Amino acid sequence: MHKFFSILLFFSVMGLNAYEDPNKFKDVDPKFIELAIIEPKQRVGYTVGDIIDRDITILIKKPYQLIEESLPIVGYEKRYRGQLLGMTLRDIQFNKKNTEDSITYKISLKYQIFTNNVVAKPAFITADYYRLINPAEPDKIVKVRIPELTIATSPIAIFGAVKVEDDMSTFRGPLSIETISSKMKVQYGAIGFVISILTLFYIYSRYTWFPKQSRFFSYIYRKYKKSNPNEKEIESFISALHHGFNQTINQALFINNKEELFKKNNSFKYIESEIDDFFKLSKAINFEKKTNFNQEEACAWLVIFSLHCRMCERSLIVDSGDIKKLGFK
Amino acid sequence: MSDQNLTEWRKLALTLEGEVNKVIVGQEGPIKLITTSIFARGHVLLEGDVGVGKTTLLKAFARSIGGGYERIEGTIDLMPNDLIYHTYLGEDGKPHVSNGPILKSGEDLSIFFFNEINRARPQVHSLLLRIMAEKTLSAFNNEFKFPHLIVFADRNQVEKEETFEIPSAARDRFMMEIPIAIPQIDKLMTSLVFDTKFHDADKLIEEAKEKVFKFDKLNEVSKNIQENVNATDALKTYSLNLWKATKNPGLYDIKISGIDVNRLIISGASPRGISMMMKCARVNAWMDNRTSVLPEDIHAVFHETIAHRLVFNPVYELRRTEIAKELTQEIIKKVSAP
Repeated sequence: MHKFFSILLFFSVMGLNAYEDPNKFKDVDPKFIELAIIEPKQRVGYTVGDIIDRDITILIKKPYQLIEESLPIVGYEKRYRGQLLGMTLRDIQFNKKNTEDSITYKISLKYQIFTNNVVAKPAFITADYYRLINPAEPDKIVKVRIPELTIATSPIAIFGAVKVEDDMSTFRGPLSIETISSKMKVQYGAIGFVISILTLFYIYSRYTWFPKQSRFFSYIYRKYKKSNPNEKEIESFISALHHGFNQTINQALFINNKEELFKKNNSFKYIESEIDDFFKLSKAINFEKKTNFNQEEACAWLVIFSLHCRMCERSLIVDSGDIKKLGFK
Repeated sequence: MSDQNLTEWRKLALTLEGEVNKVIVGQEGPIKLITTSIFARGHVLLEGDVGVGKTTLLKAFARSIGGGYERIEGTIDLMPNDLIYHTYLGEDGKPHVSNGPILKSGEDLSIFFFNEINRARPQVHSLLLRIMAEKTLSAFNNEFKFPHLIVFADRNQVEKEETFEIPSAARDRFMMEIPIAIPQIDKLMTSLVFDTKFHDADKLIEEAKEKVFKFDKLNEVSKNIQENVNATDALKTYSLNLWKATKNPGLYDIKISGIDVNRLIISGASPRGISMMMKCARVNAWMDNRTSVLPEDIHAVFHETIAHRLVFNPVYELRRTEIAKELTQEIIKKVSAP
């Protein structure tokens, strides 16, 4: 029993030592110090596991220099007046740059919250005191104060709903700092799966078409759908359509090798008679120089034909009724 | 010559084609091409194995066209003068000179068939070239003219022993090289073997109508066809592109498996060759009762008028027949019209 109390007394004393009396050393004359601190933008809403970043840049003019042992120690749990604050220094990065008349220290601190308050509660990172020494007067140690950072921790549940200490179900995983919950992941996965299945059905269906998948006739239709019904424009339109067919089968399409087109894209088979009419028109204009046809009707016919070709290119079903209505021969 | 006359001549051309088709079975393609060359007034090189009916085919044409038909066999010891004359001792015991096959029919000579031309020496080729190009011959201090002559020559592409390859300049003078193949239709093949009417070729030829038209009018008809069948600018551009593709197939993205097309061609089609192609295309359009040439008319004669003119890299020369066929097919596939 005596031994137990001795150990208890020892740890109590250690705990008191961790809290340093700010009056132990004198403050350094401010003219020797330039302090800049980048604080986190988030000041409220912290909960268990959150990280607080704090970047401190401190310029110490000579003859003073920092006693590096006075910097906070990783793993040290912050206390205020001996009470645990629920946050720990998780990591410290430190570097210094020496010039002729000063030393600049850059200190990056990462604190992690370990409190799980059931009500929203103010908290803070306590002020730190870094000690400085003048090598010429090693007995006269001074200190510089790094101001505290006030934050607010938030509850992880409505008051009284969950008491984490009592909820230690083995079916519940450890508390995670990930922002997407497992349930959300499952939901996203399920949505992705359904979309994939639908996409596959669509790809293998008869009506496959994706934006930008159409290649040649889409462009031709867009370019010529408002073309003027004159001879030059009609010739250009026909030439573009020929080019579209040639590009589709990667060789020149003539009336006697149209089977190549059907092999490449069977949808064109549905407009075979239109393709025959197109070749007749093309021959009449390009190779027979026939001019006894109505240019307006020819142009309108070509526009609908190019639209049909675009639909075939997209493997859509073509209704030839509209082109028959024109009655152009 | 009026349009009406051309229409009548078209009917005669179709009659000629039909008459020869009655006698020679399974050769509709070559018969149409030969008819085309007759009306385009161009010489023809026939390519095919022995015994496929080339001579019978030409005899049938000669019978239906009218005019003189002569034939000579190419051999390694054949000399140019063998075409012009031959000497013999007559019954009177004195030497005599009589006309050779070229001179025998005089100006009426309409078809001269040179069988296995590549067995004859280059000296013979050169004589023939002059006759083909100028349709004249100088002999016995005279100049003989053959205004209606069309030369048909045959060469066997398989056998190379004791042959003299026809130089490209000589090949270029032939308007077409037409492959004659055995028809691959069982019914026709059986008929050729078992139908006795095919056993006697001379009797068979008699079935073809004689002298369908006046052969001495063919030159005039041909000239009129060329003048009356039009080619538009789009077609001219197309034929120009085809010509360029024969010279540089790589530019037109033409690919042949196992062949480096950029190294394949040493010389493409000649201007004469493309001109002959267009002549044939015009005749083809006329025979199909059109007054304008279509790309399909060019396709109908492209291989036959162009393939034999191409000069290949010697590395590929031994495979000429198959490569030329594939190349001309690819050119037609890749060159677009309009």
